Amino acid sequence: MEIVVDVEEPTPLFAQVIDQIKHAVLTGRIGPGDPLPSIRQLAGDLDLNSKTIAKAYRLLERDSVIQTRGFRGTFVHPEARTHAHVDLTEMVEQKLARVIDELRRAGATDSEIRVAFGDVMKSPAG
Amino acid sequence: MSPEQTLFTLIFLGQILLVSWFLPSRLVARARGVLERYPPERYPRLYVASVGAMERTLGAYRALNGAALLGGLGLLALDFRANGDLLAWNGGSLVVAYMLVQYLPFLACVSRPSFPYFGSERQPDPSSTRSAELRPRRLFDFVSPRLLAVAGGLYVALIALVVVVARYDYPWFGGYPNLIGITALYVIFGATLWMAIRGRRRDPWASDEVRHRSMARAAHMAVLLCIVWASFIGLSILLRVLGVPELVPASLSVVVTLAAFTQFAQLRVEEGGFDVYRAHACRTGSP
Repeated sequence: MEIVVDVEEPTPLFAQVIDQIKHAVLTGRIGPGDPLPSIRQLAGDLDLNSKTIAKAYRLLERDSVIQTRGFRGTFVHPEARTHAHVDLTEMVEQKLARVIDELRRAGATDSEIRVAFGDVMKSPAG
Repeated sequence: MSPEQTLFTLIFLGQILLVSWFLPSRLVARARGVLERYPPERYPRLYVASVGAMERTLGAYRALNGAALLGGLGLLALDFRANGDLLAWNGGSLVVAYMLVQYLPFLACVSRPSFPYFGSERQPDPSSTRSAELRPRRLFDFVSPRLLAVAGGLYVALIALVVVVARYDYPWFGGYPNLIGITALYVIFGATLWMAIRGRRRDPWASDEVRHRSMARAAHMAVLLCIVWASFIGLSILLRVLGVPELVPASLSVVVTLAAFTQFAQLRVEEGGFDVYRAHACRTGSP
């Protein structure tokens, strides 16, 4: 199973890596429990910065598509096939679009929405 | 001349001829074979230096090995006149020194000049795509567990040997500090093994299959060399304990020759992997 990235594509490289791994899971080319290369190995083989691969792996782990088992390495999550369908970025964009639409109908300007968004992002969670 | 000295003379002569004549001539023949089968006009990506520069390097390699060969034969002649006392001096120190002389042509003309082939001087891959296997590279993919077990077992045996021999007051024995040397040897070869398997992709053009084979050969070489040198250390201690230290130079000479053959075996031409170096070839794995 090979992963291919295009450095000239507009899609960010970490997103390409995420998409390809999710696609591999959904098409059954890699299955639950299958080992994945380490961040360093994949970064070296693709000649990318290890932070790019680390970000991709972090997001995949957040989405429960992969799981890291300490020194034993990284593996495909047992429920990866289910979770690979979920695109958190798309969900965030959809929810934000709904909220922004609501705020606009209430009369808020885009500038007010942006400032408020920034203030909320800066405030501590909870 | 004693039988041990005669044995050593024959073995050392074998080392001189094999390491400074036979193996270099085979290496030069291989290099010339590559130049003939994969000329730079059709495989420009394979060549970092000009053919002229490569021919000059091959010439220098042959000349340096010729000098090492003559030096070795001269050393042997002097040793013969000294009734075998010259090369046996200090447990074969001159054999070690000569081994380094034999290794210099390889370092100067093969090892160091090959660095640009794995660096930025190589013609860069113009395609924007990069590929990688989505599978971890594990040690046992490249080296058999049995070979590693032999290396590991040898390490334990060496440690045990040093501990046992240290209990006796042999004046020639350095004692427990030998453990540091043995461990350092394993650390060095372990690092070589790790770099062979986990190192960055050095040739952007090589296919995954070719790269896999190269890594396996490099990994095998690291483990085999470790076994060879560790065996020599154990053997030299045992020979001295058994009261036959005059056999140590002969065993060292055998080890040097074995190590040279092991390293030479790694320098194989990868058949079937040269299409990617053609002028307009796409890299394997490109969509």
